[in-house]
Amino acid sequence: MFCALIGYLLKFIFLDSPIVIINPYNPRLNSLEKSILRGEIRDNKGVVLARTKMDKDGWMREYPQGRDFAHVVGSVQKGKTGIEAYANFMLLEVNDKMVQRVKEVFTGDKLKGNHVVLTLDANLQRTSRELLKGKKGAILVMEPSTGKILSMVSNPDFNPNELSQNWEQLNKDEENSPLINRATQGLYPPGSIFKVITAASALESEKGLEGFLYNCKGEDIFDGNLIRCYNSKPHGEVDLNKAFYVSCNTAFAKLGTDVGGERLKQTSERLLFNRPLPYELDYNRSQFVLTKHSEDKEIVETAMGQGRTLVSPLHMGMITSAIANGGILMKPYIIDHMETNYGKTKNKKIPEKFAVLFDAGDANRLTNMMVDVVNKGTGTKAQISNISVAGKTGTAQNASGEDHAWFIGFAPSQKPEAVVVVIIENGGSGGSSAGPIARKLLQQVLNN
Amino acid sequence: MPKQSIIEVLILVSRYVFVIFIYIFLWAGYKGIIYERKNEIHGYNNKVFEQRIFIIFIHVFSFIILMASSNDIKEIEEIAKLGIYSLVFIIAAIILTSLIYKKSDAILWNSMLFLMDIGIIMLQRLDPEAANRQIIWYGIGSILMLFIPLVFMIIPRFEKFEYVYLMSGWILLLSPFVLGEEQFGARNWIFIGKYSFQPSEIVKFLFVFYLAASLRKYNSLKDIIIPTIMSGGYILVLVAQKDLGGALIYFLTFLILIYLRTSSSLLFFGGLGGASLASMVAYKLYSHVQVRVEAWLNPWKDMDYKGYQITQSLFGIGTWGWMGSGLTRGYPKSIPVVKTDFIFAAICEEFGNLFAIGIILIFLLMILRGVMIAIKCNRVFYSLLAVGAINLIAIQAFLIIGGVIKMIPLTGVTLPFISYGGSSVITSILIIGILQWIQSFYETREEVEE
Repeated sequence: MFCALIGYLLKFIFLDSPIVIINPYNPRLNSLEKSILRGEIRDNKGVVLARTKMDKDGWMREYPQGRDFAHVVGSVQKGKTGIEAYANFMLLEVNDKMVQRVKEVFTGDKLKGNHVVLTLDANLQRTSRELLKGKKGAILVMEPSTGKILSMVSNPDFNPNELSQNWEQLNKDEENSPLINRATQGLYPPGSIFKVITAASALESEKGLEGFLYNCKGEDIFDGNLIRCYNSKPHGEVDLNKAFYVSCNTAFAKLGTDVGGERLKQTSERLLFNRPLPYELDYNRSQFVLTKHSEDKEIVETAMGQGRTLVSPLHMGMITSAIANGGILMKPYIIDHMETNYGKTKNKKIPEKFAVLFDAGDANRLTNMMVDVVNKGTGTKAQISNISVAGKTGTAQNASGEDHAWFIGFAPSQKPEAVVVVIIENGGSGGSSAGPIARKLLQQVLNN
Repeated sequence: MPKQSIIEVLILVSRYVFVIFIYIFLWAGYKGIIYERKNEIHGYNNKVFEQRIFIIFIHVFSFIILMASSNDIKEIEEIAKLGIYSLVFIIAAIILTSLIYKKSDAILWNSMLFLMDIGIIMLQRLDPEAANRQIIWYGIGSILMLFIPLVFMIIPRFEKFEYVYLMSGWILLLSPFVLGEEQFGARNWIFIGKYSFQPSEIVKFLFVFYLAASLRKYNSLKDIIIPTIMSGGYILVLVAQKDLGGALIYFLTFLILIYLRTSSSLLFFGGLGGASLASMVAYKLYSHVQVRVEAWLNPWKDMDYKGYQITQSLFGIGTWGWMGSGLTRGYPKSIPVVKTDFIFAAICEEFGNLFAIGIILIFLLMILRGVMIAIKCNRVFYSLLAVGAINLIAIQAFLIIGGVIKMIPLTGVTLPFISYGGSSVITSILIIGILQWIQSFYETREEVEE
């Protein structure tokens, strides 16, 4: 009985306490903050993203890379956000306590917290931000074989070094919502990028929809509703492959009804719709509302990526990463390791498999379909010479105005090094607006 | 080198020192028991002496730290005074107990003193006024306890006074309804002048006597009917007074003694089953039980009210890791009710979790010694008494430590020997006194088969 007591206490100390104690209700954190020099946050090459400057009045946190990392790194003024919040205790954790404390006693040097090194790349982040200038949206670049997040940018953004001064104005700016991280918290209608999921569902379906054929006349009526392809342009006879790479709405409407609402829901939920995502910082869950009782009209719309479905860029990044990685989703992460003051590496994150989202065969087929999108379909603006790029464009109708422009993709299509998700709010055509951005990002990653 | 730095280093180092000391203490206890079993008196005495040395080391070191951390001359004087009084207390206790309780269990005494010492150190750190009062309770409790052998010598047949225990128990237990006031949501305190006291603590003691006396005559099942009804009555009174922790302690002690006497697993498991049913009823009926269970399951939902106590306790336990923050360097005062129920969290915080595990092991050591004493007894009355006595300590310690670390819901009982509280301290000391008397009885004379 008493052994149970000891066992429980040990369990608490080992497993629970690291998460429990970073709670803002813990009064000890404040004193720790005053007596310990908060560690730095750095990118994957050691570029400093956040550091503490001490002056006579206390300490100030400065962000040398400014807006590039505004959302991801977060800040400590006005409550903690981003990595500053998530890694709070790591940044205040002192290594070699005895040695440091004794040193402090003799030299007056403050105790130093650990540095946190992220998986992000400052150059890529800067490029991402530049590509989003003047637009509202988000960019996410991930490494599908490990789950590392290489770049995460949301625009509109803000200057973290001036957060306090601009706080009220930033908060009130509902039109722009600059404080929100659109990459993880933005929820948008997916538009045609959802066809990846519909196609996956079709591939899995027992009805053997491999032989799917449809004659696209540019528009068609499903359950009393008119569905149109882009500009009502007829695509002629299409199989699953062609329907995918030209993004034929009517074909997918038909595919959706063949697959059925129930099947589509099963596939989506396996792909983590309506489920918690394996991501430790803040995010919003994607939403998929079909049930087996849904009307055909809604099934049709959903299969095309309209209807009431909402996705976040992060979620699409995960689905794309799984396709790129033979169907296996690696758990996405941003913190690579911690570094003590003496340069010693600690707690290096080992990439973790999260789940098998697709059968390897299906992942392969989807990859091939996505390669066709870029080679001869709607995604040609994402082509890179001498490299096979896979992708899917999306042009999502939405209530706020012009269509949102999406692009999801990865390269090289065999042994992919990077997954890219781009969304430009009200950006128009996915192929024209988001595709070129994706191309530049992929190029940058592959050139390094 | 500035004074401040010396103190910082001292406290830094003390964290390791205390942990090492407590484990040496435990190891000495373990080796002592081995020597004892092999009848190597010399080795045994050495280990006992070792334990005592370490109690004194810890005591002196702690008080040095407490004094060094203060900047106020008057305060330092007060701390020194308390430090000296308590040291004198410890030494006097060691001497007097060996004189008055011949051949008693030195390891058990040492364990008790160790816990009491940590208690007084922690209380001095938390609230010197309370510490001053606590040392008086220590004194009173110990003096009363030293009279036990005398009393038992004069009144040889303690087991006959079954009804005296029963009746006085009822009177004391019911007194809060007449004289008492509600405190902390429970109506089981009475106030005499500015001192409060919990009759249910004293009654625990009488209860064990009663059960031992009434159960010793057991021959068949009908003999347990009256004790069961009476125990049930006690428990219901406690429930009515909302002292659910107390009720649980009485109930479990009752169950264990019944099991020991009747060897009936049926009764034991039946009793447990009944208790589970009763707890479910209590849960439905009593809102404050519901609050406790909710706070236990998810205190993070409501950290301002329902979950306040346990979350602050967990923060204290978890923030500093194995070696703790060092005496005076933590924030134990941010933990509510820290002088009584949550004192264990304060120990985890400042002395460290490794040390706190050592404290749990010391309780285990006491239980072990108590069981070893009980096994020796030929007379049923004494063996029941011994088991009952050690159970009270064991169950109570388990309940409150479990509650403080969120293993089980909080039950509002105190940690024996460490928590502040006159009734708690006095009763706990008396319980050890009884155990030691039984031990002394068996070691110093031939027993006559009953």
